Amino acid sequence: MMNNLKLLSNKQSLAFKLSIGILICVLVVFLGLGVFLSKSARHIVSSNAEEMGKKSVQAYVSDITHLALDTEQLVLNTKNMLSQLEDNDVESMELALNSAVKTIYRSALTYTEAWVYVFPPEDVSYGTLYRSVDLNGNVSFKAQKIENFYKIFPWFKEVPKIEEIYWSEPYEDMLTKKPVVTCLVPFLFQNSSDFDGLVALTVDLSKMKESMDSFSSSEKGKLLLISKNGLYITHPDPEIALKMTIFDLAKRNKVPELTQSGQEVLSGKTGMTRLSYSSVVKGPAVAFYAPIKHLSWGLRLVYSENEIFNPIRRVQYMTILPLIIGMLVLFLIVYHICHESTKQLLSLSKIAANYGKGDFSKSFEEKASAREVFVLSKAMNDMRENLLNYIQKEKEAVIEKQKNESELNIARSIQSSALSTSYPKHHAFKMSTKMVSAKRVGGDFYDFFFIDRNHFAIMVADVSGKGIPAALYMMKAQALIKNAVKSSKTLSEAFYTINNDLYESNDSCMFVSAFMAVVDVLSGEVEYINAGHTHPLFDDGNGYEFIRPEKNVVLGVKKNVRFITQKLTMKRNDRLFLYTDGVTEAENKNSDFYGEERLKKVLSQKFVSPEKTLDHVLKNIRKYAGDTAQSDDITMLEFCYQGTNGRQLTVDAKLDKLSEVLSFLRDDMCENNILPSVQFRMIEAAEEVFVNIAQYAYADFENGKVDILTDFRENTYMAAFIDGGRKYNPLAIKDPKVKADFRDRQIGGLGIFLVKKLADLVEYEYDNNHNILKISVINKEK
Amino acid sequence: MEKETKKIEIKQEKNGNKLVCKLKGWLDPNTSPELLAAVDLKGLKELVFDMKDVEYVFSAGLRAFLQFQKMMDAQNGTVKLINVSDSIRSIFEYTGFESLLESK
Repeated sequence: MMNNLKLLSNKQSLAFKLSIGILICVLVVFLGLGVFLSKSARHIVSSNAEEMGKKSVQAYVSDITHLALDTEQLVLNTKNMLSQLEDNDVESMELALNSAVKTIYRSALTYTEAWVYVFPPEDVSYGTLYRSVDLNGNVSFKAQKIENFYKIFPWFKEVPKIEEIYWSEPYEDMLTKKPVVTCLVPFLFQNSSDFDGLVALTVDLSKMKESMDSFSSSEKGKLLLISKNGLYITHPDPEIALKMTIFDLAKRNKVPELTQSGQEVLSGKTGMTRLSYSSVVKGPAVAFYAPIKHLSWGLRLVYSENEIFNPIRRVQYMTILPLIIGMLVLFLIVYHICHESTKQLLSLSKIAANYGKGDFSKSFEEKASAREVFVLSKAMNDMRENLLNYIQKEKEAVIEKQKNESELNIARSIQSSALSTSYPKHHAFKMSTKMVSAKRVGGDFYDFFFIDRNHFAIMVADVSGKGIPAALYMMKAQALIKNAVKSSKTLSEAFYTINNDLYESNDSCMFVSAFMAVVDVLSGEVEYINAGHTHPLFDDGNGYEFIRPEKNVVLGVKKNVRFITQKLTMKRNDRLFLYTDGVTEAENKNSDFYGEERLKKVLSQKFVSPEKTLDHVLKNIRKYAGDTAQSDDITMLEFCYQGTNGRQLTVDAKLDKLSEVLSFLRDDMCENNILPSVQFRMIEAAEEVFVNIAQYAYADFENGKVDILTDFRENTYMAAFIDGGRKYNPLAIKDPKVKADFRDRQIGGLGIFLVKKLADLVEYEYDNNHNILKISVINKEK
Repeated sequence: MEKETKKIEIKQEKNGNKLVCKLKGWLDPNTSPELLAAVDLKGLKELVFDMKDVEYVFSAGLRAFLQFQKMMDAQNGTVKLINVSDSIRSIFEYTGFESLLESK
């Protein structure tokens, strides 16, 4: 039990397991779905962002390209004008310049200055340094002869490379600190063969920068403009703008994909790069890039990766909470459903466990929510009902059986208590009885008793009916019979009384069949009566034969019947065999009776004692019956008459009868030719015994008698002294000290001591309230 | 069958302080007191019982002889049994009374 509990506690409930299982499955599906959705969302978002980025970038690209083309147009117009001039034609030059500057001026916000440098030997710079505008709007400026003036500009070192329109590296204007870039184009005067000077128009990029910066601050992406050498023209970090190239930055921040991205855009490609780190957004980023082909610049739009995917993340975050709540709810619902079902299962199992212990008080509720549980409950209830029915039936059967059994036991104990097996030890006969009760007690009984000292009654009877009634009736009949036989003068009279008594008190219409024989143990004369009983067998020395006496009516059915008795005489070793119909009507498997013939045949064998005879007969009956159940009690009695060769004397237990007793014995011994010395011993012993009885056996006022029975057989002469006095076993008396000086001797006990010395065998028994002392002497000289 | 009670016959022959009792019959609880009463021991020095015709001596008889012995002892006399049959001798021997018997 303990183990089971332990085992149970180790096990999770079905509800829990099922809920967890379902949860895990749902979770896996959701996660998969989530991952897939987030991937596709990212993809969509990033391509949208790319598209958006491209559009924004494209706008700037075209702006910048237009600005460059406009600028170049102005520069080229100026150059063309200058190339029609002669050397030193300063006036024309001024005119051309004026026209050029006017044009530039119109977009003065875009251009910071315009210059024409004439290389040495003239070495003249004309430009916007001193300019004035008159009322007509004419701009005047002055040729400024400043030697090597242009050398102060950062692009000076690039001059040798210049052959046609050339854009300088952007740089910071020295005065305004604005980012600028200068467009340069060399010119030739008429008839000149070498470049005579440069037209330079410096474009203010601050507007562009502001526009980009405002874009950057309003939009999610940061716009970065890089020059053809990778120099950042615009960058939120002032330490980087116009000071570092994209390649320097890539190197510094160790972002190789930035280098690649820079090279790609400068080689004129459009695309998108993911950056593990961007200094602009201070983190992982996505950069879209497009070239400004005209200038070989690049424009980059950098988004923070987080920025782009934030919506997705937000959606993810927003979905996680409902997901968790949903899961919990799902868990609870599933758990509830499972628990409801399994709870019923659990209670089912509890009730079933109680059934196992024999407690059937509870039935199963048949309102289970789950169909399976409902079916199970129903099945269990059917089982319970069947079991209860079965148990009830079994109980009834057991009670019935016990009742029967106890009834049988009571009946059997009544029967056996009434039957004695303590046979009187009498020299004149040997006997034995045997009774085997049937399962259902049949009411057989036997009895044997002394009517008086010499008349011994033996009987076997059978009460009609079975069980307790039969047993009780049997007891009554037995007591009646014994009393009547003892108190009546004749056997016939006794049975007359018995029959009437049984008839009177016979409300249940029972009756008794009985056979009784009264044996005079001294003479061997037998008077017998058969009240409707089986025929007994008598062995007169030539083997057992049935005696078929007058069969009187059974006892207890008819009033005032005169029973007829008959007589026979038993000699020494003659036998009587009494039995009930349980013997002759014992059945074998074919329901055939054992029968009288078989009984007679089995009795033809002679055995040493009645006990052996009865054992043998019973064994034979059992062998015949085999496995067939015994249906009726089997009762048998064998009486073997031993007879007596001697005589009997009954005298008063008085001392003055001593000589009579001794003379009786002496005469008897002479008749039996007992040797004189043996006679002497017997007389000596008998005297002591008789004197003892006469003096002590009876109280003074009693008229006690002593019976003396003699017997001589097998060379042994026996005298039995029988008295009805107080119980006294002389053999139990201690021997006197015969070695002491006879003068000091205690006289007591001397007589009995002498008896023991003189007789060859002394036996004592107390039977039927009589002391019986038997003294035997062997007829032989000592 | 003899109906009457057996009596003991006692023949006494006195010679100075010696008494010889010739007994006939048997010595049982009835006859032994008779014997004791019949014999006068006064002045006797020697008491002799002739047992020639005694059929039986029972324990009562033995007790009588024991009493005679004790009384004779008291007056420095002797008790002697003569002509005791073998059967009766055995009774004395069985019971340790053989010193009453004359030596053979």
